[in-house]
Amino acid sequence: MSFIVDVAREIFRPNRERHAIPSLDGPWQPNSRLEEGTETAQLEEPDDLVSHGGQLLVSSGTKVGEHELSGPTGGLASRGDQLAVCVEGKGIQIVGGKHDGLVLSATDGEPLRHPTAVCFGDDDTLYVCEGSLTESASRWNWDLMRKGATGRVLRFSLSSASGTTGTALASGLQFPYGVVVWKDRVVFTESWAHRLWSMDTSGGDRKMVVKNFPGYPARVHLASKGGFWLAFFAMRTQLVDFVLKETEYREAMIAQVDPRWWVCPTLVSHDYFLEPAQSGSIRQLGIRKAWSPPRSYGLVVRLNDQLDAAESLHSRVGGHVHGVTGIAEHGGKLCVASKGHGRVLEVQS
Amino acid sequence: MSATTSFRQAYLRARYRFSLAQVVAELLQKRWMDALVPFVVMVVVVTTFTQLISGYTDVDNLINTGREFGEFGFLVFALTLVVIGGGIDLSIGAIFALCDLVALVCFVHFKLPLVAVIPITLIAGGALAAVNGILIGFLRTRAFLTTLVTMIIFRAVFDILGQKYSQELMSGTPENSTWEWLGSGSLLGIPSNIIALVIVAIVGHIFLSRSRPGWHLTAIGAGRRAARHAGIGIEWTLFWTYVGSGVLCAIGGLFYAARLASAGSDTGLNSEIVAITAVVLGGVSLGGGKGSVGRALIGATTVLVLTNGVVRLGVVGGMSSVVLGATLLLAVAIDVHWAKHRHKAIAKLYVVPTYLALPPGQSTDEGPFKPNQRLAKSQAIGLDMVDGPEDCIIDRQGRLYAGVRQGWILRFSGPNFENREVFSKPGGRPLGMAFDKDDNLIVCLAGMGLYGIREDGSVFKLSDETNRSWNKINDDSRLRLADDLDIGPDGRVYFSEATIRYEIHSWATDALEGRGNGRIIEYDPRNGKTRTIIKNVLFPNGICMSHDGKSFLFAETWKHSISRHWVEGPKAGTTEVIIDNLPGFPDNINRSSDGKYWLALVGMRTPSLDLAMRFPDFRTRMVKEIAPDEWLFPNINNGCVCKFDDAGNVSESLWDSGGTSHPTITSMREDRGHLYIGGLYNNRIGRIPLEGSDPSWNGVESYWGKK
Repeated sequence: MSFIVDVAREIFRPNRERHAIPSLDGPWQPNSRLEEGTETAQLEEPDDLVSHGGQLLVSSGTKVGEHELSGPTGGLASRGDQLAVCVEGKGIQIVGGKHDGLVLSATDGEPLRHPTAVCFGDDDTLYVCEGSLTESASRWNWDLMRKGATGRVLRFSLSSASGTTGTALASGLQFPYGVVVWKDRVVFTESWAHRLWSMDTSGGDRKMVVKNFPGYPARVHLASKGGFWLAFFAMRTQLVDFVLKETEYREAMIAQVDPRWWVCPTLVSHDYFLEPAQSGSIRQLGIRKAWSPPRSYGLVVRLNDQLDAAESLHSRVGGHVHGVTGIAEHGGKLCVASKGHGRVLEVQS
Repeated sequence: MSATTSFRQAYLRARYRFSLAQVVAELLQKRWMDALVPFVVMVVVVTTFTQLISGYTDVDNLINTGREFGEFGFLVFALTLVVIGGGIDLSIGAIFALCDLVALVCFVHFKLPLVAVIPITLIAGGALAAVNGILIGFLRTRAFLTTLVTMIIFRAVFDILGQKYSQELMSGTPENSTWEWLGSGSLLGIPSNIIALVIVAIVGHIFLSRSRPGWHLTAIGAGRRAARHAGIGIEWTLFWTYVGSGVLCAIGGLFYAARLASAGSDTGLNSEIVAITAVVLGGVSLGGGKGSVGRALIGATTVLVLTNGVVRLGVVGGMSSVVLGATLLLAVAIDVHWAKHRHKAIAKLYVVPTYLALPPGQSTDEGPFKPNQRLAKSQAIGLDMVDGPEDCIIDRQGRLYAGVRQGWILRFSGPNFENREVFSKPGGRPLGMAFDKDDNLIVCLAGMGLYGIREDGSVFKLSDETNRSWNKINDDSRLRLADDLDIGPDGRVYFSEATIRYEIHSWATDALEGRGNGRIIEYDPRNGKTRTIIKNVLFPNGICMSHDGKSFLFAETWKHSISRHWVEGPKAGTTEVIIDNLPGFPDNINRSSDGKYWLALVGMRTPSLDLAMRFPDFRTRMVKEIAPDEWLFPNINNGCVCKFDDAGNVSESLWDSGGTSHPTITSMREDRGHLYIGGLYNNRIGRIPLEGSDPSWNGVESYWGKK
């Protein structure tokens, strides 16, 4: 019976979300490549990285490298001498180049307030992800636990006659968290839905290109080897997926429990005694198994030109490169920002 | 507001107290539920035919059917015996026929007396089947092929001999009242062969379920290689199984001979097929290792009523076989499905969470429970040489004992406890320990009960069962998870059984239920009696006699509470809660040198789980839908040791915050100015100096004085 239902679903709703979390197998097989990276900096919550003017810039707090901005910084993008920075509560701020000082927040709908990622289409075009209309980027866990679906992908044309008003190319998204222009198409991640979309530069022909990732995808970055890098800031677990279905419990948890101790993925877990524990994560003989259900995790994956996973870099349970939100290639090396552990590393790619 | 809240809580408590799912799951776990499907099929078949055929339940008819049933029953027993051992015997029909012939020839042709005919027939049956036994048991030929071949040979021999004697046999049998009684007599209205069948059934049941060879046979059927590894003599066991099966066939043949006095060529023809049908319909697994006499009888009844009934309904011969085959197919399909999914159904139903709202725990931000690192720098004793020292104890000589997962008690001695020896191997999972006044080490062994170990390491049993509760489906007379104990001044042992629904390997699953599944039990050495003194306790764990010996304290892990139970004085027999708001899960309790008590918190409460305890349906769905490794669980990676006094005031706590050296702290003992820390899943015993404590104080002396 259930087999027939499955077949029927496959025919009528091929794009539906599958509940089974794919196992880490094949190119996804766990390794310790992130752990083996060389630490280049320790910072307070490094969020994103960009190679800009021969330098690797990191957004952390209100600063990006030497630049002080007007609010907490997030996603970064660079083109020529222009640097675009996501500034929480403000919008996108351009630093350097012909549009230096420009702040983009006006759109054709709600103003842009909670940008999560940005990328350049050309010198005068920007694509921006806004994770949620209601929650700031740092309160992503509230949006996840409330099953937020108010995110947008916007386009800003800096030189157009209509000024710098952004156009929403897609909206009602479940936390878009990374965007890149690839093969003349806009590719972006939808984190809570664990999937990757592709659309043309005007927002048409939108296609789901990868679905059912085993983790929550964050930033995307073109890879020099072909395809692009994808950072996962946390892994899905059966328990979190289950709690997301349990409305009554979830609402009581949001109302009564300190968000630090929610059943929810985190960027970093310190094994603190108030954190929720899972049966598989109990220490045995002094060891917590690396394959136990992860509350926090570090994962970077490269998708090839066919959008299949080609390789992956892991920091497993008990590792020290968790909560990877930003990635960039710089000087021939892959650099990752572990927001959870406050580290920036260079890894062999 | 608070009135409605408490009303709501009372309602929720009442609503989730009883659970039908629990009843069903516990019933399904019973071994006799294996035969549920065959039994239902039998009842359906029998009621159908008694309804369809008028006069089916008349006495005459019942006796006639019964006579047929008697002979057929022996064949089914013969086959059941072989099938349980993992084999098959296709030659039973041929042996049956040959034995029938042997009996008749001896009686009619040779005119032997009955006292000779009966043993000769039985020996003939055994000898014929011994051919199978030798080939299958010793030469290890395949049972199916071997018995197929012997079936053909025996059948051929029967046909040749049968033709030779058939004329003479038809001329009639000599007068003999015993012979006639065997064929058509009865006692109190019960046909003779049914009486024999009942006797054989009782003996067979005792043999299979209560005797050593019976267990060996089942073990061989369940797993031949494992049975060999367990030291079971497979060759001889199988040999005797086939011989026994042959003797059973011979008994059937004897009754047949006495009843019909005929050795026609259709004697016992195809009866092996019908017997296999009966065996399978009864739920005796053709794979071996599963089955019983009762199930064989169920199967035999079903088949006989079915074949008999179909014929009486006027269905022509060929058609009755079709009906039989179809029923077999259906029953087997249902049974396979049932066997495959039964344990899944149990697994899904077994965990039955209830509503549990508890007062918030004491603060861990400030006060005595503020985390610190006092345990982090402990000296590690037996690092990586112990596997889960749940409890540890120090004797008068200063030697350290710890029970480990292998079922051993280890002893560490020497100035830095570097000498490790296996003190005793009692088995089970050693948990709580205490010394009695004769310096015997009394230990709770999960899976076994309450045991003692003498100074030379020899083991003796104190108790392994208590009085059974009439209202529990799970047999709770056996001790499943004896957890911790302490001994009163009069020698009475008080011990906790943490839960009666889970084994030691899944103890923490009990937390998801939040039910009072545990109990406190008293063992009195003066009369050797064991009795339950407190029931429905929420995972009773540590037990410790108060310093005055008039009461004991016990911890209820999932309730975050410590209670006191009086055993002497005016309040004897009453229980009172002294702490009900611990911030963690209390485990063992032990005396401290300053007149207070040490308490291990095996883990700390997490807000997410505290909340989930108020959502029983959430937990039920969680257990059903996600893998056990993913379940939300008590956080037992982080715990602490704390100290409280008789009034229940906590004065200090010792932590290894982060749980790197001491996760899952289940016990601690103070001894001569040091504190020793045990952990259920840890790879060491910790030892830290206690500043300001009595450097000569020893736990054993605190109970029994100096020697």
